[in-house]
Amino acid sequence: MTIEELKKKAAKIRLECLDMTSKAGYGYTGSMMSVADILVALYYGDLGRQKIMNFDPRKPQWDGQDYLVLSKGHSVAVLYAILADLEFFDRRELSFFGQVGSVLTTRPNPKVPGVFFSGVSHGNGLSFAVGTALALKADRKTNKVFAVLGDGELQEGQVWEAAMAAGNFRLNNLIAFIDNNKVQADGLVSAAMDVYPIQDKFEAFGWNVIQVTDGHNFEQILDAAERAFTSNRRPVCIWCHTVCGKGIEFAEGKISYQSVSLSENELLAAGEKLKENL
Amino acid sequence: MKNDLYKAFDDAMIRILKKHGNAMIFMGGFPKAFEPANFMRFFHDRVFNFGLAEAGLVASAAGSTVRGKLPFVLGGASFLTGKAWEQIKDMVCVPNFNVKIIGFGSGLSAGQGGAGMHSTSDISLMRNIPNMKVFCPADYYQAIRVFDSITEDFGPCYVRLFDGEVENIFDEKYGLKAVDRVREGDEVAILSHGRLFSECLLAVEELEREGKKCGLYNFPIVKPLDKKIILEILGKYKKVFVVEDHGVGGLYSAVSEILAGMEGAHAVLKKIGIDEKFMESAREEELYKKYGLDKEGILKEIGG
Repeated sequence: MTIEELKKKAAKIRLECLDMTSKAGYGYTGSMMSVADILVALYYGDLGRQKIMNFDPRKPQWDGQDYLVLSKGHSVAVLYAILADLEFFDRRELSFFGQVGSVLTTRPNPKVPGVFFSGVSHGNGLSFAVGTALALKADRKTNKVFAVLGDGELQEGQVWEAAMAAGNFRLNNLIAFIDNNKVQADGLVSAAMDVYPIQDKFEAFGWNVIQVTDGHNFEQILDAAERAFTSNRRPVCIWCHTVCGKGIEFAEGKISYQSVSLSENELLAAGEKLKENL
Repeated sequence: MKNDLYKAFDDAMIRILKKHGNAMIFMGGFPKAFEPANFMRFFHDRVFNFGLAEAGLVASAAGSTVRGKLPFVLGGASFLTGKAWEQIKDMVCVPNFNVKIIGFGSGLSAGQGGAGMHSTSDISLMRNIPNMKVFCPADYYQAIRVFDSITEDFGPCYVRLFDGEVENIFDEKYGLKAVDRVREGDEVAILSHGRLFSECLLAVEELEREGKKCGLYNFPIVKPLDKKIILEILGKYKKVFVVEDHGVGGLYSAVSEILAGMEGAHAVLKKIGIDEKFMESAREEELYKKYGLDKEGILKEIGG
């Protein structure tokens, strides 16, 4: 996909997940919008002939695929919208998000085709990704594992257990994206518990760190992924600076939109603007 | 002949790792620090040591199942079931991943390590999670069969291993059953599992020498419990004692839950175990003696 096509796809995915969460009356608008471009780059981006992530919607258990662990599971509506768009499952399922009897739960559900990780509580995803990466190493396979973490999540001690293990086992098949949107459910990350310096911390645990100064710029994200693929004997952390609520003018950077879904009127207003990018 | 359950784990894992190419071990330490297990020497490419990091250990084992792996997680019983309880619930049992949790140093094994290291809530913590099965082997051969059985069976499980050697109770022909009917008695029966089962057997043998027949049942599988057999035992005897090195929520609680809905005449159910209290830091045998969890204590309680 070209950069222009990626931008259009991101607008479409934003619309879709805002619609889902608004209907459900449950969602994390700020968090979904900040991670949307990272996930779109992973699923649709390519480096010329090489796809960023290998997968086959017709064969969700394909042996040659790469794996994505969305550790910031509260943003899962974005992932579901992408998987439906890629035809992992019927798009009509999206309207049942967060409803009784629906497989599309509000945290990642491994029963959904294309989802491998059961993400309920924060801080678990990187450890899970370490296990998948180790299993691939044991099989002498070169498939990759991508983990996507929030910044507030870095407050969880288990993230650093996983960072230590990944460095110790030299998991160069593991790439972790940090969606550094500076906001968590109850306010600013720095006000709750400061997580900086992110780069020094990961480097101290034996990781290579690549900084993306604009986590909504596809050229920068793809360039970081390309550099990550050539990492030698080290796991890679791609630290992305993002904006909470990105793409919705009235919600950008606003803490109040971090952990709520949009009302009907807000959805209409956000939709009008996003449709201009389609 | 005496044997310990860690040797059973090592012996079983050598066979299991050889037979099942997808089996892996995620370790949070091995109980015998100066005597490394054979599986660590022969299968080092499938054995990963995570050091002292139980939460990450369990979550990583869950992550390996995505590739069809069969992970065995080995760690201290009290730390795995306590510190990593959330990971066991959310990342193993909610998605029903095929992860086997093996806890060593159960009950009062840690002895002088004190209350923080005693594992007397682990059965309760594991038993209340849906999809989880709980195994409490009592000797070497029973442990071997438990490991074989959980390897063939799909789904999460917890195996509780105690420290120290005990006299072999079963032999190599032993086949794993929900309940081993070791002795049928007249009016009194004992139900037990794990470390204290051998003490119960000594007590029952003592009674036999006095001409008294006491029922004795071993429960290597504490969850799921065979409800039919429990109802039969509760209906048959006047008094039933559950003997376990565990606090609230163990086998006694599980049997009580069945008894609570039972109609008609039934036995009086009593517990010989650990009350709601923290034990002091002392040798295991001394603690057993003080709290009536050895042969003498059991005989005294059941009126032998």
